[in-house]
Amino acid sequence: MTLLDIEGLNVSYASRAGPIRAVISADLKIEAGQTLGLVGESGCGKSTLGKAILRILPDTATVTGSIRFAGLDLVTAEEPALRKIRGRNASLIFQDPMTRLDPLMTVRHHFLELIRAHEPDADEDDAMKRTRRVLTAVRIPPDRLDQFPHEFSGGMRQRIMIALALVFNPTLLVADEPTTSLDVIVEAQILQLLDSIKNEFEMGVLLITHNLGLIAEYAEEMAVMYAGHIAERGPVRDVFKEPLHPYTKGLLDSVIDLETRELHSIPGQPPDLLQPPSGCPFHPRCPSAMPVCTGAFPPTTRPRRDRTVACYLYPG
Amino acid sequence: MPDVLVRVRDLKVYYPLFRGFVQRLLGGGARFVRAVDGISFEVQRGEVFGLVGESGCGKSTAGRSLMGLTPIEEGEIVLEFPSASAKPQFIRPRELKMACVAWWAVSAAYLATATYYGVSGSALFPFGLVATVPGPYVDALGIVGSVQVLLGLALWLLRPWSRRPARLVAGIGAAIAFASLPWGLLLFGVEVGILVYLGTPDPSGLVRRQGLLLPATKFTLTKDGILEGIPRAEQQTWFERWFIGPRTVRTAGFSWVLKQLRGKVQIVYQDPHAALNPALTVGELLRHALQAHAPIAPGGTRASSRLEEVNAKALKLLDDVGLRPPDQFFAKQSTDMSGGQKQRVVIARALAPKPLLLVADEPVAMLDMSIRAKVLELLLDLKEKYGLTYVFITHDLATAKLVCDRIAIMYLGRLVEAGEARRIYADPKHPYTRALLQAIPIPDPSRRTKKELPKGEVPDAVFPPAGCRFHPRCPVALPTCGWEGRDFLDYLEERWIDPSNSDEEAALGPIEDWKSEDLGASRSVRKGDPEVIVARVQAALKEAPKPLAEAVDRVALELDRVVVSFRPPARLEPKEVEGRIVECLLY
Repeated sequence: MTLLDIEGLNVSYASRAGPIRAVISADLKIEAGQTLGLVGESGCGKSTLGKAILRILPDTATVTGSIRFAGLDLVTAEEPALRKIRGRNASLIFQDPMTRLDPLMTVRHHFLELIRAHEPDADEDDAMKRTRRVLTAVRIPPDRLDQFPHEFSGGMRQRIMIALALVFNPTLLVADEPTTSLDVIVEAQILQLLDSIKNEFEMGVLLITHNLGLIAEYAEEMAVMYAGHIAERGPVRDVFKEPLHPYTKGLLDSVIDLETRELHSIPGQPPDLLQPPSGCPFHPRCPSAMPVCTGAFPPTTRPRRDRTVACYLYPG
Repeated sequence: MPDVLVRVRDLKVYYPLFRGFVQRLLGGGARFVRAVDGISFEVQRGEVFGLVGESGCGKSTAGRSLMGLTPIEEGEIVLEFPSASAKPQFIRPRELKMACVAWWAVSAAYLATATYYGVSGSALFPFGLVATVPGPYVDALGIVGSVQVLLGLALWLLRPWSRRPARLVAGIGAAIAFASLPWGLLLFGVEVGILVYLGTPDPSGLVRRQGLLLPATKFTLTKDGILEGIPRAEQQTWFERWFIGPRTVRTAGFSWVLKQLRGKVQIVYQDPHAALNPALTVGELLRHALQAHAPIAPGGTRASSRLEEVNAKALKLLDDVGLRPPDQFFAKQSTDMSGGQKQRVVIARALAPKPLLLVADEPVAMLDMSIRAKVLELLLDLKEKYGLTYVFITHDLATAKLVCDRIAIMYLGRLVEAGEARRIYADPKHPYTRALLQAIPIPDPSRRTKKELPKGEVPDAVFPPAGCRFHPRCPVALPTCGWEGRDFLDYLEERWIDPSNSDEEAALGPIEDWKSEDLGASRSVRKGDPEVIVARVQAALKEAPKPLAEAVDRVALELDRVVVSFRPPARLEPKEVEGRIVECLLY
């Protein structure tokens, strides 16, 4: 069952120097109970895409295209309808839990506020019962409900964020770099927790990260973004086994893990989104660039089963 | 040439926590974050030494302490560099010049007067010469001056009892003494003034007093500051031995010595966006570093203060770190550059004073995956080119494996395992090292495995756990590892998350009623039946993890409290295990 269907999504930010196109005609699908890993370097538009799904972008952003979720098109939906969806059908976990939890509110208050936002006349006892259930799921002692965020460690804060996201059994969870500010061991703990919760709550998860290792371990499908475009999409196993897009190849080569013997990197720098290169934005760094690459952006083709790629190396 | 560049012995770095007056009264004095709590290691010349650990383990603090950037609570760091040049450099700040001119004027007037009065003038001549030599011999002159005044006084007092010729001599002597008395007093005053002025323990004062500065080669950083050692006695010239002697300076905060140290040890910071002043161009950034650490020429001017020379050096640095064409980057504002380029500028700036040791504090953590390798390669290239030694600080064991020759793994201020990187990666010995290695994500979806991760997170460094600091999270802990009251409370709290244990929580909880002191935990039994509480505690302990349960000494009633006490931990010492140092009771 397709949970989320994004088609031809464009997001651009207005700026003094001109529009910044952060997401350009992106297509994505997330199935229920599946984790889609969205990977890319900083500034490639992956966070913008995640925020566009819940429509929590700043006012300077213009969104076009379609995001079909829970029987609605989130691009055209009105604010009251969106508000009903946020936190209930779809939740978001951010990178830094300390800046996302209110330092002046106890954990109890965070949960009460969230529950009352959706059910204004919710009974406090009932709300706390639900809170205890999700806190138990993320292994936070419920007697710490009356503590403030600063009294928890980094990993616990992120688990509280996850618990907040889970209160209404959402069908979609957008996790935007959920472990980037955490240590490796805690990172693995949190992602294992997310993985088990995903199965328990049957959610679809959009895992946004720059770490290919995490994608390999915790996602089923993946999409690689570069300069606002989705360069490649497909099942994680296939993409890691046989990366098609030269950028995906370069990215996989530059991963440093325990078995790395030699260092590889992609020459050059990620482009400036204000003045992206013409045609395929990767062509100035691409080892197999052709004259055609500078012309127009390559069409998205389907060279293998379940896989799409936007590159002239794979004509339709 | 020394092979060991850095020797860290039992280093402790504590950061005081700010606590209000009332808090201190109530809470028993000052508290400290024990960022580094007793570590020892050595860094060999020309190697890449990795300090690896999670955030808060003290790796950055340990790295920074090598530069004298942190206070030291205990222990010492000795940095010994091959001597660059044995030639002493004259330091003549303007105050020193003025002091010298005044001094010479006074001495000359004194000599002239003494000569005019005859005998004793010529007798005093050598002392007058001494007066022109600024240095420890200044004190001798003061003594001579006072002795002379006293002698004159004595002669004048003895005058009536002397025979005539003697009386004549005594009279002349007395006259000289009286005539020179004002000079003597003036001299004395001037000298006292100068000594007071120079007598401050500030090493720059010392530089002023001696007027000479040798390129230091050995620095000892301790609680009191930096002890700076000049070349060993046998390496000194006779001039240095006689006129300077072995020099050791106590200092704190900024000083001349610290500056010398910073010219030899430099740091590359983690976040290039925060490390560069956005108001300056790249050229200005580099020029600042080059000028601040330029060698000092005779007369106090910097050897290369000429702008063209400095600019040429800056361009060369930019070229060396791969920012080409350098003149284009030279004029750029750092805000107009990407993260990778900024980090290259940070590296270039660190190289400006020609350091011998580079502390690289997570140099690639903030960079994009696709350019990390390039920056790492650059660092390794520069190591060869500039003959550098690295202390490479990272949380990423995979990166450390690629670049480090030897690594030290830190946990909560302690070194848990240290040795040759090759050996440690091939066969990690400490349970924490194993946990860290296991937690690294493997970028291969066909090899997904369920990971056995350690429980919980790094504890608070203000109250580190007893015994081995890793024991509350350790999967293979022993009963002697340092179990204590709070481990028991953590266990209860974890246990009570499970709703099936709610009756136990009702009987023993809430957790706030428990108090942990030293090795035990206790709770008042006024609210319930003491026997039931003890029985409940024992039941809970039966289901506890084995090492925790076995470490319990006894569960007993003391007055109106039930006390769970633990046996003291076994002594933990770093041991040599298969060619590396491990701090673990398993070995």
